[in-house]
Amino acid sequence: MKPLLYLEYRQTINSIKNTLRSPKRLIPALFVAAFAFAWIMQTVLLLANAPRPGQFGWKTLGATVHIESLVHSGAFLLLSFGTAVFIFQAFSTGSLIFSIPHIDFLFPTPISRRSVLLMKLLRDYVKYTLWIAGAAIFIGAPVMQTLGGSLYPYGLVSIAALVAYLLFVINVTHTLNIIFTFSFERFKQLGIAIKILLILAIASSVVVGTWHFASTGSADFSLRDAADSPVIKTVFAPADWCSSLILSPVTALNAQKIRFDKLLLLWVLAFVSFMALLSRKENIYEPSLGVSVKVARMKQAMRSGDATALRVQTLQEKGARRAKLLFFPQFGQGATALLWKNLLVRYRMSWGQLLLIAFLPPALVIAIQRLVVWEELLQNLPFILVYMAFLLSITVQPQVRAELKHANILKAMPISAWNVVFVQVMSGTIYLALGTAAFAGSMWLFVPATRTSLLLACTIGSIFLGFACISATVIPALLYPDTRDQAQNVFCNLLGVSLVAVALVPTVVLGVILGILLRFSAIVVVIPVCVINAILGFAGIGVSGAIFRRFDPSGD
Amino acid sequence: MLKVDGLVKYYRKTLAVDGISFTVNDGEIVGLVGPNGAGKTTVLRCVTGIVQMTQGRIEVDGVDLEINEEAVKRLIAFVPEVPSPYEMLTVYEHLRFIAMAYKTLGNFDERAYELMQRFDLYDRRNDFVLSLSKGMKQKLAIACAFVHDARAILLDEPLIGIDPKGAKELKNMILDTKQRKGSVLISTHMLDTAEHLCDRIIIIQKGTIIAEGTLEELHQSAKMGRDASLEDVFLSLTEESKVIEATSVS
Repeated sequence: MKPLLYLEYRQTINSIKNTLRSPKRLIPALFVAAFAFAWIMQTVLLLANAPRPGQFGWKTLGATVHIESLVHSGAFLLLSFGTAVFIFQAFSTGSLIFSIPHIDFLFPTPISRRSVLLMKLLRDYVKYTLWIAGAAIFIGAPVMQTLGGSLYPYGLVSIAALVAYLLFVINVTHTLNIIFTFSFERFKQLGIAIKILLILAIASSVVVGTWHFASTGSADFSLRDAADSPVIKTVFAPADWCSSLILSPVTALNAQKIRFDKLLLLWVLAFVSFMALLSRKENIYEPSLGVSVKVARMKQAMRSGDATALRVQTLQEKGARRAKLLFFPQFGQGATALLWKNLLVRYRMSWGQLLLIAFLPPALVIAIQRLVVWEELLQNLPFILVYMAFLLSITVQPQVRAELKHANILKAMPISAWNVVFVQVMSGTIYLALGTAAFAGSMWLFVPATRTSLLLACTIGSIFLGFACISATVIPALLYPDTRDQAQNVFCNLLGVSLVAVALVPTVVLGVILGILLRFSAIVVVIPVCVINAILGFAGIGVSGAIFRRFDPSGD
Repeated sequence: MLKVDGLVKYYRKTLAVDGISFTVNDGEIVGLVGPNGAGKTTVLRCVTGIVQMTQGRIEVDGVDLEINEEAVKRLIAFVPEVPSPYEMLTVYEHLRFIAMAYKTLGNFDERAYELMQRFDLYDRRNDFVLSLSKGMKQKLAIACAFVHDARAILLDEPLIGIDPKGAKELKNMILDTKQRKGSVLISTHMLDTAEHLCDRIIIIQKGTIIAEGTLEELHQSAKMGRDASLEDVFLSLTEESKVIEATSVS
């Protein structure tokens, strides 16, 4: 254990030193710390000022009893479904995740596997406890204050119950995963039986809930009935105990008795499952290898905020080898070929988003048409396209930063810097135009009130505005290209949003002056809006082109 | 002496290693070569106890891995392919941690000093590993393998990304180990390195040994002249094996 303690201690101390020494790490850390401190202080004040259970009684006791019962059912179903997913995964994917340095340097050492496992579990347990306690304080305290109660002291019961249940589920998952990795054939029947039991339990709850909803139309009571299904109640009994204990502060508020025996039972289960896991003699390293490498890659991609890397990781995991769906014919040479490549890659990487572009607009528009009853509001619905252009343009920035990872290839091409940037902006604008057109088309089809010149003006204007906004977001992407650096990520996002907001100003000003004050028609208003946005867009591309000309690909 | 006997490894239903047997004698350097996916890394991982063998027996200096894994691990040093050292440790702390893990803190400072000097790590001893280049990390991984006096050293592609001086130092250390009557098993794609450094070569393909012996013996197996390089022999034997397999399938 001594070397492992040394490793943990040194890594923790060095991490703190590393943060303190580097301003670019220290500043975001201070921001986070200040935010957490402010929240905790607020929570402490809430705790101090909150009435103690039984101090004032509860004015609308019936209401909280109903809420408690609903939250209990919801929490129970959530815990049960989550547990089922965890256990299901244990049969196919590894659940013990170690770091890559552990695999390379710790696994071959003579330190006993049990010590390594014990250290890992203890570390994880501390981490989970902090997460749960944090969530309880950050979410539970304000909720309890709203209900006129206090998180303290019964919130501790909630935390203890949730921690015990989580430890129990994790220990069981790890144990099953180890057993089924090495004795897959031997326990095949048992594995199938466990899976069938889990499916039955979940299915029984879904069927009962759906049937109740179909016959009564009451969502509240259907949820309660789904949770009360005897099969799920039996299979996931510990989840039931836990979900009732999570609500201990509310239970106390309702002057009901808290079942400490259930809490004890949960901790007994957690301890027994912990001992069972520690007693396994199989090589725990083996099942962890694949999943650890996968998680390490995923973490790296997430840390860098690189959506493209995440998507590539997902495709690799799925074992994607060849392009699927539509054939995308090649066109053009030079910069046009680069545009083709960008459109193709974006289509292949995010065809889910493209499906969203196709199906989300009609769904949203139909929902709006059903929910909004004011005709005047529906007539002005096309303005939502302007807001959409603003939002979508911000999402282009990560794609440009991902593209800059291949800056050495881009810079080596016989294409001018200006053209390279223009292609990046245009590929984003083309997808934005598709989304805008889909939305506009849906409005025209499903909301007759929007069939005015305003719809056409907003559609064209939004595309030009998107062009200007995308061109603005490219500038910070080129200035702060390193997605692995958190400080660069923060500055890039901040500057991106600010520049997009600035790019939005002329459109808003022209729209207000010409459209509202001078009462010109929408078509007349959109002409200068398009011109000004085209000028802004090309100006942004000019600036970005100049930056890209001096861009150092070795910098990232 | 490292002895592997009838090693079989299944990953669930997938057969990765199919009954491999070989011995690396005291004072011998053996090269394990084979195409990608042949099972080289799996063999090394089985020997180091990172993965559990399905069948077979592995012994180091007569100690059975299955019976006394920790004792066997104490006798082995392993350099992984493209190693990822602990980034939040300094170079010195990393070496110290490895020494602690192998319980060889006795003359650690002198040993660490010598290793850091040999691999140009001394000036960076107080730097975090995260600040090291890929090549320096590789050197650190190699230095870690020599912190304790291992009886058998297993290296998985040790020369990738390492500079000429580091490569020379590594070769010297391997030869030192040989002189100390240690056993060295090198898994590599660099056939000329294997040709010049190794006493014997084992060629594996699809989890089985297709040829084994000194370069001369491999020449005979491949029915090639003495002038043929290991590369020619390797390509001839692996292609031949593919042809035999295709014929038996059809």
